Amino acid sequence: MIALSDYEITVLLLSIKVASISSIITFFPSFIMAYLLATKNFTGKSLIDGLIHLPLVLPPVVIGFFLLIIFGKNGLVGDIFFSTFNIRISFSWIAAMIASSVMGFPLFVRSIRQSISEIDPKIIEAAQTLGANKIKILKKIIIPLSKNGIIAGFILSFSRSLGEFGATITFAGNIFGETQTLPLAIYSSLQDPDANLIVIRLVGISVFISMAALMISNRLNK
Amino acid sequence: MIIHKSLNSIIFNNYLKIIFAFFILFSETIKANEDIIIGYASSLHNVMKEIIRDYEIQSNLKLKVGMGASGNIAQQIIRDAPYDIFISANKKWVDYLEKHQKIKERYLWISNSLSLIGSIKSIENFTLNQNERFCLADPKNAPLGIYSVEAINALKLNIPKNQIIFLKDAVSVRYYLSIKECDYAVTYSSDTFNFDKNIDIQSIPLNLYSDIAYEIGILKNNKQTKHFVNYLQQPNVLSKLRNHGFIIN
Repeated sequence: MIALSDYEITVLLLSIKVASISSIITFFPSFIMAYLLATKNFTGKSLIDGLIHLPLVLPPVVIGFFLLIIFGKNGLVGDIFFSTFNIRISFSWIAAMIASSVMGFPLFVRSIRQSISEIDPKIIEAAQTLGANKIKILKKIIIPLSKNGIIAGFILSFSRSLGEFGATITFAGNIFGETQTLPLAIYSSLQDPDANLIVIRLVGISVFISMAALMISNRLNK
Repeated sequence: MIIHKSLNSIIFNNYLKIIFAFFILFSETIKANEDIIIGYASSLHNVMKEIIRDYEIQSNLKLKVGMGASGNIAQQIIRDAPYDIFISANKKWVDYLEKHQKIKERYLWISNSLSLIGSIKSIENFTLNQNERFCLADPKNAPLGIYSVEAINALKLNIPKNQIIFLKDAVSVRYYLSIKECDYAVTYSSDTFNFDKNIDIQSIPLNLYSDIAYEIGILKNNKQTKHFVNYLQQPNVLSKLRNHGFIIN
């Protein structure tokens, strides 16, 4: 067992905190959105579908820039927060979490949507004729049968947020102990001539976490 | 749908031609070029754009540029980035490259000074409100950061650690000031050139930090690089730099 230094522990704990909170928070809107997209037809569906996928196709720095415009001190939402609650969102760990959530959202929606649309509609119809209400159908049929998609979504958005770089450095900065997650720490150390060993150790840590996440998801999917 | 299909079949039937066309298109860029590549400190960004534009018109040469914290560019050079000329905002990073036998020749060039940004009434009783932020360049790689920390220590400014935001270079300090994410900052006086009128700027006395000396390092010694470095020392270029707030020795 290699002992981790205080620096590595701080970076690691922050990364896990940001990644896990952001994927838990993203779960609820993702599930609702995936459910709507998989089961309902409404006007503007393809527009919403496109908007959801924007973070996947846009350069992450662009997302960071949008977030800075929206949540910055002068931004639309940031201004309200600052004047009413005296809270500044940008350059805090909450900013890092928002950035990861936005980047992970499309991945989450995609995998849940996939598994909801694979549910045989006959099962739901049967449940309806047997008198189950919507909440019961959701609890007893949709959630259990889309379990694999939900788990895959969790793992995907968790890993996405562990790897998030562009949006985070633009919107949340690179502040040690506050917003410096693993990729940012690796980036910073890469620019320090005396930190080659730290780079290798941090890279090792991030490979280890990602592999662990993948293996856990494989185990849960069985 | 029909349009889609026919487009697909056109691409599918002609993919070899398309790949070939791409090769022809980009072969222009694959050709070995004789341009000069210059890496410079980000604080030179605005003025360098003008200098390079003028030089290109005058010399018919194409210049390629990379900009960033001097330390970052030095790191890239150590990892064999193909820069021909390196302009650093301090001596340290040129020394560092010289130690690694990357520098062929070096020249002292111009100087700069520091300014304190933000409404500060008295430096002795300076306190930050709970939600205010003080931005500094990261002293690890940006020379501006090193000078700023010296100046802040000399001024005995009392800034809580968790309210300091370290940004990667002089240009990002300027950008985050412009969108008001930073309430206070230390930046180069040359970067306060054409700043918003509502922002308070105080210059910091020169004796409170070490000399800000820009150095030019030549990494590849040839006619083109020599010519450009000579051009940088010419009076009209120097006066342009003076207009941008740099100090000409």
